Amino acid sequence: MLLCFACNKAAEIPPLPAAAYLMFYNGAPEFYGVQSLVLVNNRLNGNLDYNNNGRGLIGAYNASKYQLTDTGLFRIAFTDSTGKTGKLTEGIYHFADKSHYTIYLADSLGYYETLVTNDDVQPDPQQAKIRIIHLSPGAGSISVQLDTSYVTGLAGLHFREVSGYVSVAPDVKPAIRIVEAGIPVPIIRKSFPLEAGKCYTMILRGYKTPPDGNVNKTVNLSTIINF
Amino acid sequence: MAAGLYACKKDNNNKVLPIMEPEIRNTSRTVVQAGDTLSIYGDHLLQANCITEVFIHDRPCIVLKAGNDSIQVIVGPQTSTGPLRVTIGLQQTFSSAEGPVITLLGTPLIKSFWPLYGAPGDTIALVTEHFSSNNTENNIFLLGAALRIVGNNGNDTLLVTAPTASGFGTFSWQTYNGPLYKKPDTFAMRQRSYPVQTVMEWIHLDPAFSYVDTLLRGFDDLATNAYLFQHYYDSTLNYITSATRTYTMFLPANGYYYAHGITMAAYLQNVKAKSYQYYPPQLSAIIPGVQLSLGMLQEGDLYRSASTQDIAFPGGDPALGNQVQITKENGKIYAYVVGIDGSTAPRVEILREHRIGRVTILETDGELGSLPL
Repeated sequence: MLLCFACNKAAEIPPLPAAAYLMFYNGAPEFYGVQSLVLVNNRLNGNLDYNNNGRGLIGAYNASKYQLTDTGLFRIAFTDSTGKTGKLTEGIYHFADKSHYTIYLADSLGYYETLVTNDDVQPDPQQAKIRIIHLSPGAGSISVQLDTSYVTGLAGLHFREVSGYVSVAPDVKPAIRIVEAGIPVPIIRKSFPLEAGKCYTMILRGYKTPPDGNVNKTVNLSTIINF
Repeated sequence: MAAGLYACKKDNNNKVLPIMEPEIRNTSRTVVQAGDTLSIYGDHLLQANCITEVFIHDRPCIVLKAGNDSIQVIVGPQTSTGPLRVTIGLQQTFSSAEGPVITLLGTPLIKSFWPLYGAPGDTIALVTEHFSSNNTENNIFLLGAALRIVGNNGNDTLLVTAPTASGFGTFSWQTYNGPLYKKPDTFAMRQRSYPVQTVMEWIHLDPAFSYVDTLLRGFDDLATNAYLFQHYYDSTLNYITSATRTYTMFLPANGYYYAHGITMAAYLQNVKAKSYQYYPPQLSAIIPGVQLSLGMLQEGDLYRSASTQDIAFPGGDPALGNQVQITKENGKIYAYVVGIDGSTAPRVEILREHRIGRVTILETDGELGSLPL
């Protein structure tokens, strides 16, 4: 009898609603110190300044901030800092159940666009997993080095391209270097702990030579700990 | 079972959009430039209470007017090639239609032009970027006139005809009826004829002679050791300010200096530093007693110039002096100075003639120069 009740009760529990997980990142240097409004289906969904993923400015690295959302087709738009001149760019994306996505605002001298990545990956308890997205319009083909070794799978990426996740050995203080093809000296060197079981997205951002000379817009590497 | 039915109905109600699915059938063009007007044809492009938005490669266009079966938009700045999309939105719901890929050409640009001056009807070469290979889609304006395009290599050069106008003006242009662009550099309109009596007056009015005009008007300020050249200069003035003398004068047009990147300031510095290279040669460029024309010039013609030994120093032989030799090659006419010992100066091409009463200016593409007397 008890089992019957249990069975009935279980049967009455409604299935979990379908939900996707969204994170937004402003990779447009033009928004250094000013906010871009994020619109989801024309409704304000917060605002982001340059190098912000909703959890605050990303230094060397920062945690992710996913928002639950419905599934299906969505309009994702970014506006200028005032919102008065309308949308800078709007993409239509399909979000699937139980999937994680990051939507990036990218910019190359005013040519704005949105990019989306599916962030899902199976963590490896023994390894760290890293990937890189190239949002630095002035940089050419880039590759990632850990210490002085190239990381297989993180090479030859151009502006607006994203790599897949690659497993690497955990390290407390790895020397992560971004090397541009044809340039012997790394264009940026960073270090942050790579922990086993965690998954990271590195974002190469900024201009090699900012048009307005603002050093805060120079090329740099920020990392989001996705999981 | 009943509960299941209700749930199903409720779900369906939630998914029903009060928006009819828009459709893009075709567009007025698939190749555009930022600022161009693009027409989109289809169905359900404007619906009650809904907002119609148009994007190319996710970049918004400015909607000029919208109807159920057509929309007219201006392609936004800094738009890249990509698919066209029309989105009909009602609050948080929307429906969109994707159209053809719209190719975005770069902004049309006149990078440079040559020559920097011209008379009505002269051909001007424009070095361009992102103009249409179809001339009917290119509009170029100067001094309020639409220019006739007489050549288009489909890549980087357009040839246009200078308008009937005067003064200085800037080029403006548009492609595909897009926005109007301007170049700040001025083009100088010269005239086929000026109502003047003397060479001095002509070169002052003709923008193609501003360098030599400045040279000849500025003797007192520009000539270093002026006493050495005063006699040359005065003799030159006797010709170029006279309305009664008959003579021909070779004069370099500004194009020579522009082509060599010699600014007016640099030119004046040169005149001050080496006045002997500028004032005495003016007399070598004058052929007294004859009003030549291009048609008269024959291979081997040799003309005595006004630069004679007696002007160079007291007691000099007036029969000796610089002469000007005419030569022809590949349909072009050249002139060069011949010295008293038979030596020669580099030749210059004679470009055109200007007639002022009893005088002819033979416009050249360089300085005729002079040789020691």
